[in-house]
Amino acid sequence: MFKRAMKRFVRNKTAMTALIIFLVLVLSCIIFPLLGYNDYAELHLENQYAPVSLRHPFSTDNLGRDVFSRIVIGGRYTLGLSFVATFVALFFGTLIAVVSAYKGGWLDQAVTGVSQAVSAVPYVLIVIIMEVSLGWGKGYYSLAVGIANMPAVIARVRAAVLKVRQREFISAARVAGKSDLHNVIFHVLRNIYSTVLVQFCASYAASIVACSVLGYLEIGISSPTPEWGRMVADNFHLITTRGYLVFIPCLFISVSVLCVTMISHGLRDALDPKEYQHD
Amino acid sequence: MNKTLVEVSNLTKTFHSDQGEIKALDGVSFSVSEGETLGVVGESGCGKTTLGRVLAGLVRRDEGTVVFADKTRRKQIIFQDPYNSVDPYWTVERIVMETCNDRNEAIQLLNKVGLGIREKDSYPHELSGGQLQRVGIARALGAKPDFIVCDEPVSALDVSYQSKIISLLEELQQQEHLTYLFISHDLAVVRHIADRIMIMYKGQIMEIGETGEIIKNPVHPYTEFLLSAVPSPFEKKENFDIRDDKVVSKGCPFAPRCPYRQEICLQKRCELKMHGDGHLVACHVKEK
Amino acid sequence: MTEALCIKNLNVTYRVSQGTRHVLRDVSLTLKKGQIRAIVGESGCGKSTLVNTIISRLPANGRIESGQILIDGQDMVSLKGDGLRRMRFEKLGVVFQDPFSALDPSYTVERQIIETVNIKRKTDRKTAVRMGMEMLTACGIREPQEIMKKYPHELSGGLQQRVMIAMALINEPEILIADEPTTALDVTVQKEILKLLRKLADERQLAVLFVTHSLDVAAMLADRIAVFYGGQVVEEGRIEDIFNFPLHPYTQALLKTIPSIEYGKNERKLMPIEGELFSFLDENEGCCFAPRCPYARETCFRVSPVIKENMGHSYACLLEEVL
Repeated sequence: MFKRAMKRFVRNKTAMTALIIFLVLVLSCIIFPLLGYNDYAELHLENQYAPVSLRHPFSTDNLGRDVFSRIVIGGRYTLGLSFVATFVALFFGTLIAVVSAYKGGWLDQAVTGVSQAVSAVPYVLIVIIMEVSLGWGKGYYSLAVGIANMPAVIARVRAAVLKVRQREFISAARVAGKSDLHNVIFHVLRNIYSTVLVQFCASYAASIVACSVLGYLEIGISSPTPEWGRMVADNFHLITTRGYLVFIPCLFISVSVLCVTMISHGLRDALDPKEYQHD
Repeated sequence: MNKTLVEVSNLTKTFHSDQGEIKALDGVSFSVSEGETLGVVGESGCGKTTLGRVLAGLVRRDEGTVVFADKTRRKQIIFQDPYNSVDPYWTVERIVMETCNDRNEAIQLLNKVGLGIREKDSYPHELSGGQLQRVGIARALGAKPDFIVCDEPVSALDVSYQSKIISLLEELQQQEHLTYLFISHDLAVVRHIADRIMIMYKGQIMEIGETGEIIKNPVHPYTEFLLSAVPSPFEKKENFDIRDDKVVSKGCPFAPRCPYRQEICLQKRCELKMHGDGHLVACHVKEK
Repeated sequence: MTEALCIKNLNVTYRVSQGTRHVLRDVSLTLKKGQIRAIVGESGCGKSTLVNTIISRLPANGRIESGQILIDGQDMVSLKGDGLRRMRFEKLGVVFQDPFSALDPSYTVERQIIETVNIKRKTDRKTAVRMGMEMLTACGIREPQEIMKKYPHELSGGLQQRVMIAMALINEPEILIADEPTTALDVTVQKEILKLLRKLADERQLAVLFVTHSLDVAAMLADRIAVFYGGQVVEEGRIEDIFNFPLHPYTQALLKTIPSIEYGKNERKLMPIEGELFSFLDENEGCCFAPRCPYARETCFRVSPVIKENMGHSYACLLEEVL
């Protein structure tokens, strides 16, 4: 059945295009710095706004730093730290949601209450609190973004688990004397994986935006480490004269968010459980 | 009479909701003999599903006891909606193996319920409702049960599958010496399969007895009412006029609608009383 | 009695990824005023497609290939846009299986009734409410005033279905299409609804097309029954004929397979119909029931049967005599 879903995904042109573009983006961020595009911090004030060349495909900024190197290295931070944030949100969010929704009762009520409370706090505040307590500018903010993303994950996964839990094959397994652990591993997780996968992409898109915003606000990674949001902020005063310095990082943020969103839509369509249900 | 397999006494279950308390089971006592089929009939909300779930161990009872003849007896349950009762991501073979844990035995069980090698690697969405219900039955049999709660096992199926499942359940009862608690809203189906019928209304037993006796000589007004509504092409039954008074009954739950109602019906709960050989009725008015 | 609805040689296909499925084959039916006609069949027999075709709500991949649906002599198939819409709300009323999903949960009954009245004509609120009350009363609701103020979820299933019937009839259609209106209800409530439909048909000269999967329910209510199988009317006739002298092997098999309240354990063995339901998957020649028919001969798999009629009792079978 997984094969069939894959086939449907491959046939979805929008999603496939998005996936390819995104993979190219990720691979570029991994490979190009290894090929020498890694001089992101050194100042070359004599080389301001260098003409576009193989050495400087995106020219250089006001401090003579190669923009392309900064973009690919920045991508490592933006995409990487957002991935960490998403992973944290999904892993712990799913764990919490599955346990609480399956067990129900006071635990479920408590989890729902806490997660609603967390979602009411602006995530910037969570980030600041975490940064203050763990140290500034070390990327801990990705954990905070993960935590901020968790309520949404918990809500989705919880709804999916509640739906599965009341289906009668769970009751049948219980009558057959199977443990809750068996039910969770073999029935619940199997039935919610599509929800989790789709939610992963949705959260990833949200995290990229959140990390960029934090970078822009100078709460996240600190200069000179390039980070897409940070780069926008650094060059914002040049928007009228050297617009491309703002435009290029913006473009990378938008393209990656768009791609991840498209992939998530493609996954949702491909994994739609309605396809499996008998009509 | 055969040996008693399950003895249920004074079973009570109350559900709490925002609208208040719902007494799904209200002092239900009966027993099921070994090898028989006890049909449980009633309208939706009469507590028949809750009863099945309590007996299967899925719902915890508030009060009362369920005693099996000896501790080794195993119970199983077959559900109404075949699509809902199997995991859509599991193959048929694996679904059956959930109870029997052995591949060869699973195939044997599938054969026993009329499914072949061809179906064993199928996923649920590739099978029809009738076939899935067979899978559900095979899974129940895998636990080698003595007692099976059949919760409306044919209500969701098309008529041409219904009779096959009914026949299959009958055959299996013979072969495996099974005892059924057969829950259904369809009196015709219960009439066909059950040795005894239990009529329930609002969590209480109204009447219980031999199937033929109940269908031909119903005593409780509610049974009469229920029988008068069964669609049948053969004879148009005379109308059974019920009323719909807005009175609160502390006694018989059917009293507000009962045409034979007397003052005592609203005041005092009527216990089940012997009305004939194994025929018990809970009615003040029709008391012998 | 005049004909309210007349369906002539209706053919409907669905386009699917594997090709086309011929889901209604040469369906012809007539429905007179004041008559209740039951359409009986199992799931996938085409009965829901028929309903959807009549109310012109076929899914996007469905297509009427040929045939006519005449309502008061006017062909619905050829109508489009406004004409079709007017025809639909003036002549047809529809009641579905699940009243709860057919009613809007966020509006009171009163609001929904007023809205329904206003589709046909602009009236003031007072008139609409009066009409609604009258209709609810006619549908056997004793306290219409109280019911009007309620939301759908506050009503029982039986009451919801009565409200649905009232809403379907408030614009005084000539034809009521009832698609399994009692399947979701308890038997005792079902009986009340059936009685109500009978009363409405008699009093208002309403033509009722009653779709059901149960022969017994059809027998309780209808004047005539059309048995559907594989997208075709395989047998059609009066209740007594269908039950006492079924002519088509499918109807015969169906009657032997239904448990009856008349017979107890071991008094009558049920005779299951072998094989799986007709699937429309492969375009087969010949009789649609042939693969499951105990009397099928070689010709049955090649030649499509034509409908034979005798004294108002028709059936589609190649065999001369099947008893």
